[in-house]
Amino acid sequence: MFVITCPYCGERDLSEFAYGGEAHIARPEWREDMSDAEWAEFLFMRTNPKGILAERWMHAAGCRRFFNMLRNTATDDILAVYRIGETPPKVEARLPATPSGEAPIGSGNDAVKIIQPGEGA
Amino acid sequence: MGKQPYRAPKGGLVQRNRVIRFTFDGRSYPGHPGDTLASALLAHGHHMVARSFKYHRPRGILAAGSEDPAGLVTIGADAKRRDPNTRVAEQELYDGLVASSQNCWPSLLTDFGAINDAFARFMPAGFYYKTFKGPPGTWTGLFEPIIRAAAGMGRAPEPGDPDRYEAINRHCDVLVVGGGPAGLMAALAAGRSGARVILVEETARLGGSALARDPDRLAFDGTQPAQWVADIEKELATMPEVTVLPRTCAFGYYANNFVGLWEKVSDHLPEDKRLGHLPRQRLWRVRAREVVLATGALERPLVFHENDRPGVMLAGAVRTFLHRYGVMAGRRPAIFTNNDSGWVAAFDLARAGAEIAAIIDVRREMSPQHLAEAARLGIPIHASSTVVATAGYRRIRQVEVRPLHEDGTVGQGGSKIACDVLAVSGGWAPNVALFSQSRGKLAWDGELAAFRPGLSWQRERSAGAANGTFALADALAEGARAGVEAAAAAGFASGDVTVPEVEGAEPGQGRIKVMAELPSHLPAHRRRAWIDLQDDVTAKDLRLAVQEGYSAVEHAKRYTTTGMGTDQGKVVNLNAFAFLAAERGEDPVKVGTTTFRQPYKPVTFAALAGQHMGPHFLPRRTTPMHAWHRRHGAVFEPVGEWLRPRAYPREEEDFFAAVQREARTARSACGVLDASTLGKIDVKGPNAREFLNRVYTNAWMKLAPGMCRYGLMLGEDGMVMDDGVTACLADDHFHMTTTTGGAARVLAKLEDYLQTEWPELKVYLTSVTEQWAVASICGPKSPELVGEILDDFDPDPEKFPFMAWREATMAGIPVRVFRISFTGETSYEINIPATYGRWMWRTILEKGQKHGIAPYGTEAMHLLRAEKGFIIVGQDTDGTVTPHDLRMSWIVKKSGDFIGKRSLFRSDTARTDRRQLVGILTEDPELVLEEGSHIVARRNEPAPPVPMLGHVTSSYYSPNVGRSIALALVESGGTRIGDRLFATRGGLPTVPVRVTETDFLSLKENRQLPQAPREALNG
Amino acid sequence: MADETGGAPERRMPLFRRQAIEGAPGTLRLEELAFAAKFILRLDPQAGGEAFGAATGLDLPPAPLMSVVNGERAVLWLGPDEFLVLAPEGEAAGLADAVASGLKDVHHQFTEVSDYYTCIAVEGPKARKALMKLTTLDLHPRAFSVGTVAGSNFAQAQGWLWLEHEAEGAARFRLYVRWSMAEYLWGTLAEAGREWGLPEQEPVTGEPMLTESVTSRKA
Repeated sequence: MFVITCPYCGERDLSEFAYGGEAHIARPEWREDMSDAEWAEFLFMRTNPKGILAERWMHAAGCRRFFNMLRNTATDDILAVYRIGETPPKVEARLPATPSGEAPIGSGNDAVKIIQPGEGA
Repeated sequence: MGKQPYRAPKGGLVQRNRVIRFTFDGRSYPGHPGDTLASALLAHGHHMVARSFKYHRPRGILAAGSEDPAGLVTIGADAKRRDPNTRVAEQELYDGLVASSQNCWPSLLTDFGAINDAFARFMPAGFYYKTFKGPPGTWTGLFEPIIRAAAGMGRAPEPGDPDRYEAINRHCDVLVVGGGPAGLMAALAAGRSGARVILVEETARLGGSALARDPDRLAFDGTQPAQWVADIEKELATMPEVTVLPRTCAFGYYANNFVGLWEKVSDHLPEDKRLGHLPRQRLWRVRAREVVLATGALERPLVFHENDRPGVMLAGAVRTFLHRYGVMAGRRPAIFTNNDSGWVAAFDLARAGAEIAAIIDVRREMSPQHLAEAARLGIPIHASSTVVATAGYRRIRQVEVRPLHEDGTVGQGGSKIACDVLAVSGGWAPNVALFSQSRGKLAWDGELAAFRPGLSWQRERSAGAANGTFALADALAEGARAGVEAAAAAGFASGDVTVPEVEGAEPGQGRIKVMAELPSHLPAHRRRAWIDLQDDVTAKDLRLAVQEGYSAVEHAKRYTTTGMGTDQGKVVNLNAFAFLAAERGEDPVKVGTTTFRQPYKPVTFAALAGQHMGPHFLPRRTTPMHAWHRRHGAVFEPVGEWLRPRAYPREEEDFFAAVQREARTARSACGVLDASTLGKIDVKGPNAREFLNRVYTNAWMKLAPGMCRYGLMLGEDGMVMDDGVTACLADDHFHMTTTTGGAARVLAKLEDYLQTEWPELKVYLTSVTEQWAVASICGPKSPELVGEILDDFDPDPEKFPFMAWREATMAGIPVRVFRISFTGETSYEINIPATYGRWMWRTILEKGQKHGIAPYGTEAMHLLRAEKGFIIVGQDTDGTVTPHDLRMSWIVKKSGDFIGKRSLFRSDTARTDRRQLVGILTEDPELVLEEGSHIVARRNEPAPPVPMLGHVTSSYYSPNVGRSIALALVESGGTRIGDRLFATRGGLPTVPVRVTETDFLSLKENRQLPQAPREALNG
Repeated sequence: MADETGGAPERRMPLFRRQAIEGAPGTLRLEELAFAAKFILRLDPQAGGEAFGAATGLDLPPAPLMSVVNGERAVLWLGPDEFLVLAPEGEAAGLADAVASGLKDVHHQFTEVSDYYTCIAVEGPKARKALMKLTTLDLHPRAFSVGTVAGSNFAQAQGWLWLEHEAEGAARFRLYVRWSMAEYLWGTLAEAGREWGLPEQEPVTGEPMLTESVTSRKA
């Protein structure tokens, strides 16, 4: 249950929001000659990173506005919230990239929960 | 008190002048207010309270708090209220408390399950998994029933809990977890800053470790510990923004400083004295800006042969029982330690009048001051020694001590020492459970041989013993600093906090000598040194796990179940990790830990459910006509959160008959349906038409004001998502309807496109679903009835044609009337402001009486539309169905874009052999197929896999067609009209069916219903 | 049955069966407010705020989560281009006409929802605490001051909460909820108030339910 800062209503509980999938995927307008690949790019293809993802959210129980958010999918850190139509701000994920310092891809099952020798504390 | 032979002559925070009585296993005992069940039982010398999980070994009380793995009992006499697996060390005593032992039969002392202990060698680590590998059938036939019958601890309460529970949300600036010395200082410091502070303490009173000390030998600024705590409590009580929650456990630390607290509001009160207006337990869902973890430290036991007897207790727990509860755990205690804290426990006991049998220390070098004090008190010392065996059944009565060599072996000789309790100390470890739950990274502290908080991930700080700061003065200072810093981080400049001067501080545990398993003269395979006392995991089991390849810490845990009990291995896990490290010959930091998971201790389901139980479990949405439906015998069905009447059976009429009658009446006379639940969206703006054009598959540019149109809405994947009729109110203004279940989804989707995809479109949307109560009147008599109930209204279907709408009034109240139909009959849908809905409904029924009106429910509605071949989105579609699959290509416009259009041209969606919606008529007209029945090509298909042609989506007995009807999605269905196929019927033989068009009423009218062949009728 | 007579138009609020209930003196009180006119205004305040003010005498809230009160009329912020407009029942038609003519050249939507939503007044010194049992909103006076409006979930029902007034520690909240959710919220609010002596409210429940499919007569 993390906290999301709605650009209009401020900090609210996750339970008030609805997820809207990856942001900045423009819907191509209908053209006779649009290829399957071009449509599939819009319809199916998503980046699904372990790291920073621009995604859409809607403040469903509040102001009902959609907005964009940069979230680190590995840590649930919310790095920026911005309105629809605005360009995503430049952000950097905090280090360590993941709370347990696990690999940049793959699941967190092999997470290291303790500081290893040579690692700063 | 002669009746409490182990009650210390003085001391403790119990009210000695009051006696209350409690029952354990049917026997009544006296105790005092302020006792826990554990302290009260110990005051009677009662150590054995339970049986272990696997071997049913006698179990006593190891610890004095919630971390105790062994002393579990069931509280409560009432089967509906009983609370199994309650730690005796945690349960506060109250007058009339009823406790009983569990995991034993017929009784605690005579337990037939104890036979398991004799067969222990047949149940090694992972034996449960090994039973999976037997010959086929042995698991389900043999092992599963036995293991299931034997497994489980305690018995869940019976349904019908009479108590109330509730959850509350709370925001605060600083949450302090733990009411010991560090936590008190933190709360005080943060509280003085004016910040919103919540201080939680798991036990009944604040003070923590300060209350586990001899009050005559510890002072804060010259004040006795209990008084010092009381003074702070008093100051906290004067601060309006500070909330102190005793009897409250912070059980879960989640994302963004969301912490779950579990408050036991009245579990400490006699059942008849519980306050009716208060819940029994309360769940606090706290969102804190900053968190201070002052959760203290937990003591570890030692791992040696036969270390699981009742009477083997943690040394710190023995001190707590003595000073906080005034109970001597034994009169002749022996102490077994690997650090200095065992020694101070011995001295406290000796001063309280106990005769110390021995201090056994595995170390060679010990503190000279302690040696001197021991000599002064005349305590026998066994240095460089270990306990190699113990004796005693209901309670330990003897330990065997042998010298411990430098190489880790034991020498000959030694001695047998009589004792009535064995206080053990394996050293203290910071309680890092919540810190680790917060996703902080632990650091290995070689000196403590334990983990302490390393790298914080959330806005949290640890203080005091929880941070590895064991010296009291340092812990107080650290707590104060944590409080100041946390308040500052939350935006509150702090007030002054003076850290009190401590007199009588103890030096701490000194140097600790960790040995993963203490040796014995017995060979390894005969040693039974318990690591997990609740789940019966021994050192031998862990060794086997390593030998069999389960040496990674998470694997070993699951293979042996160590730490998987209700205690989650709070005090035993570190020993397990140390043992694994030793077996693997690796550094503990490499071995790591298992994951600390929420909840910190078992939380009742009732507390988690809170007030959302019974009638408050889910919203039940009802329409303005609901009371009428109830009074007129409706049976209901849930449609999303809505309750809708499914039919109105009359007396001596079953549900089926009612549906048949309602469906007949709607076509022969007049029927009325409560259609208020349909989603309604007001669409307005200069681009409203263009918007509708893009969201529906059909064209909207030419729909004139006063007219309506049916539309199908797709997802971008081309699949049907919703449908409904939209009316044109004005050139730039429309009234859209959606399915009942799709209303919220459709509005969100439309807002999505307007806000993010097409911001250039000037369109506003507002939901008006419940502004209108809707009665849908249909049937040949409906025009007459509508003419009667509306003011000056001409309902003539010629002048007020199908798919038109009009404004009108009903007894002066403005209404909207839509000539739309879901049944194929002449229909009028009257929308009236919801507050008049009840009156409108009653009026319609009353005035319709002479026309033979009958209300009909959703079942007849489904049947009526199926007779006409109309689809229901979600019943005849399932998210894989395009408009073409529904053979509704007529509704898909050729030019212009709409949501999902491009997907209709994908190679897969353009296939001609997709499943398409067709009518299905059984050759036996009386046979009604089950919805979901498969459609296959041949009567007797060969062996599986049988090629499936499709499935039945809707199926009814139709009184108006005079036979059964069904809709089905069938491969290339459109080209199969007239074909003979077969439908499955569960395990019964398949039945022949005919593929038809979907409008059964027209088929009947045009005499196109297939005639049943002789074979079907006869056979 | 007596209530079978159609008769003159008769109006029922969703909670017409419920009387106002009160806990111990000076704690908490719940009441469904009398019928009032309610409209949802969709309007870009930049484009039409002034015209709306001229037509209705009501300013739009200058910032999110705020409200503006003028006599018996009020405007509550619901979203950047969405507002709840409240007025006495008798003013509904006049208000709608005024907005229609005043904003005829501005893209807007003014939709009557008087019957859609009802209003439960939650008032008293314990009102904040009672509502905390239902919502994750921070209702502490430091975070939720008089005039604040917030849409949120209340137990499992969406609604809008408005702190209309507060004096001497006694807050008067108005909770605007859908018709069909009113009974559920009434019961949940009453349950939250049990601590302060609110009487238990008999739930409306026990409808005969039938969920399995029935395709033939009972055997």
